[in-house]
Amino acid sequence: MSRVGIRDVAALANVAVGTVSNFLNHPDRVSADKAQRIQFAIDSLGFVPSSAGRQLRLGVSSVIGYLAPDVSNPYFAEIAEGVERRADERGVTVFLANSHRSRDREDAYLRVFEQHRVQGLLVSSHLPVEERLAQVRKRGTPSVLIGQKGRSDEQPSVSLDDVSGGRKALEHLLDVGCRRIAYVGGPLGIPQVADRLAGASEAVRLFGAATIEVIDMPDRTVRGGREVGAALLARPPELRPDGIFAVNDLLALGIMQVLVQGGVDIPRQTAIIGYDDNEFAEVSLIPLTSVSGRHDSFGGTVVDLLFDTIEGRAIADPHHMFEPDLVIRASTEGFGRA
Amino acid sequence: MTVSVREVAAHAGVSVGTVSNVLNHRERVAPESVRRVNEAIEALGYVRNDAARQLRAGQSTTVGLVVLDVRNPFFTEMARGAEQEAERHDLAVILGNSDEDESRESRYLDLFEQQRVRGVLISPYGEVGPRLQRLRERGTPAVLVDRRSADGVFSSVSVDDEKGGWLAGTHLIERSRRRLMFVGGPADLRQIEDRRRGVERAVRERSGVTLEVFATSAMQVADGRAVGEEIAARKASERPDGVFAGNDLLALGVLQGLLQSPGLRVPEDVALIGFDDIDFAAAAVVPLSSVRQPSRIMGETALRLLLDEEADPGRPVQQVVFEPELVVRASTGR
Repeated sequence: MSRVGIRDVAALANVAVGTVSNFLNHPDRVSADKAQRIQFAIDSLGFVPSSAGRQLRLGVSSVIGYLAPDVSNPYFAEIAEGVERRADERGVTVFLANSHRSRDREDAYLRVFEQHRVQGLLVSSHLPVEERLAQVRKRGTPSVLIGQKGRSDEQPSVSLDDVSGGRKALEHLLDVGCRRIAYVGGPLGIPQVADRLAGASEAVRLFGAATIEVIDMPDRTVRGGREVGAALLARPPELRPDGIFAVNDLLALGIMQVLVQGGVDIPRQTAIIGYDDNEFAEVSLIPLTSVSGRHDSFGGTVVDLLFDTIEGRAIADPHHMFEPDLVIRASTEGFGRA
Repeated sequence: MTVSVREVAAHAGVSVGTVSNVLNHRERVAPESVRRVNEAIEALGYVRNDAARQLRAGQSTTVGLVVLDVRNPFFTEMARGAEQEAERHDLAVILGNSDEDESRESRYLDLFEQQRVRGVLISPYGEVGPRLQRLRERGTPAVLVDRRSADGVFSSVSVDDEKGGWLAGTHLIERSRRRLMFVGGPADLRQIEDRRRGVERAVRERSGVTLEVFATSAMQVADGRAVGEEIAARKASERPDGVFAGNDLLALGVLQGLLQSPGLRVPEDVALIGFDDIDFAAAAVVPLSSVRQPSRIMGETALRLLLDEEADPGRPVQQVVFEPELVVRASTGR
């Protein structure tokens, strides 16, 4: 099953290997007669000029990689779409890969992308990844960190101000009248999870007459949310929180589903707010209030920053931060009403 | 500047051949040399170039997967299945999103070919047969997912879409719906064509039932929303009383569009059913009836077929067709 090589093409065309190479790279240097023979040989043998081979010399390709924890989360899928739109405009193709929140897989895919000599990497991660990206950068592949702020100025990043987002979510719950708040998400080692909690706790502290309980749920999916919902239902009603802030919409939707099935009136008895404002938040069982990190320019900003880095342009602000917005819907509005 | 094997060898004080042996046949090398080479690799930041290695060995650990729409959870679940199976074989899956665009699809196939991937899984949009044939002749197997190979040339994993369409149509008719509408597109997408043929058959089997086909240019939530708004704007007598959307994203959009109109109720005025049974179908404002595809198992199976074909290129192709399953929820009533 050996592949057709440049040698086979040269043999069939009855020219030197160097002539085939010239034909591929500097066609102007090859006579029309030889060019025709080489083209014929390429067609009949089914030879593919390997970009792999070409990259050995040039070290560049028109591909960038986007490594995300899980593209099935609409939040990441939307970023991917914005990234692809801008990449298309630049004539660059995007390869996607899912780490499924596993450090081993994240490492494996970083390696795969590096070995395929992508021009640059976009990385969304819930793990501490900056040092590993520094290694990758040292070996020649630059990257932009998405969703968590880079610590070093060497590591460009595009993220959301999650402390501010957490604060906005909590201020809204307090505003509608919730006093016993549950924060659902985990683990706290994840910067995004910790930042949202920091903002939320600060809002509670400033307000005074309210409490915040942390429910640790590292499986931040609809399934994880269903588990939390079931645990809350199992509590006596007076021990249930009256306001729930879930660290993402998937968790919030899962919690909501189980609570509603269990007869809890949302939002009158319990208000729920999510985070991300994914495209299902609006069509959920009870339209979900959420903190939106959606910005039309997010994906474009990420790609532009990557190419500024690749092309060595001066970067005024290596850590671009978007401000999140509160989107109020039925899952919180009307809390406490008869 | 990339570091070469030559530089690694110089730094480690060994021959290039020894470095190569450390990389490829470690058992042939003295432990002391392995250590020195590894230190040199670390110190210089040498990256083993897969591309170069594959030029020689013809073996990659990467499988390319091209999906129609990365925003559709059906495809990401399918990818998840393929990834799980890949991991069992120490392979990595790289995803390309064709976004229902022929030129993007073809670019991904080009790149996967140039990168010498181990194999290609593809949910095809355009006419990719000749391309895949060429790939195969060069030793890169391909398996179709979510679409059956029309001429039986390639192995494939799919769901019986015609039957799925029939199940959805028959279910609406059993719920006393008589003016059905099928929403989906583009019309030449084979999955959509098959689902439409299925609902047409269901309609033909009953007298007094009509079917209107509402063609969309794509299958995302926004496309569905536009359809829902248009249905809501019609006079009641001209509205369908049962809508079958070609996938759940469209159905969720239709639901959104319909419910923006006060007084219009789902399922009382319009019953609605989707296709795929994605995770969000059950969590919708009116929980959505759907036709389930076993997306994760489809992905796993596709990867297994790919490895089968690689192991034995001469074996007959395999067409695995899964049965669709009707899932009834509130959006089609009781």
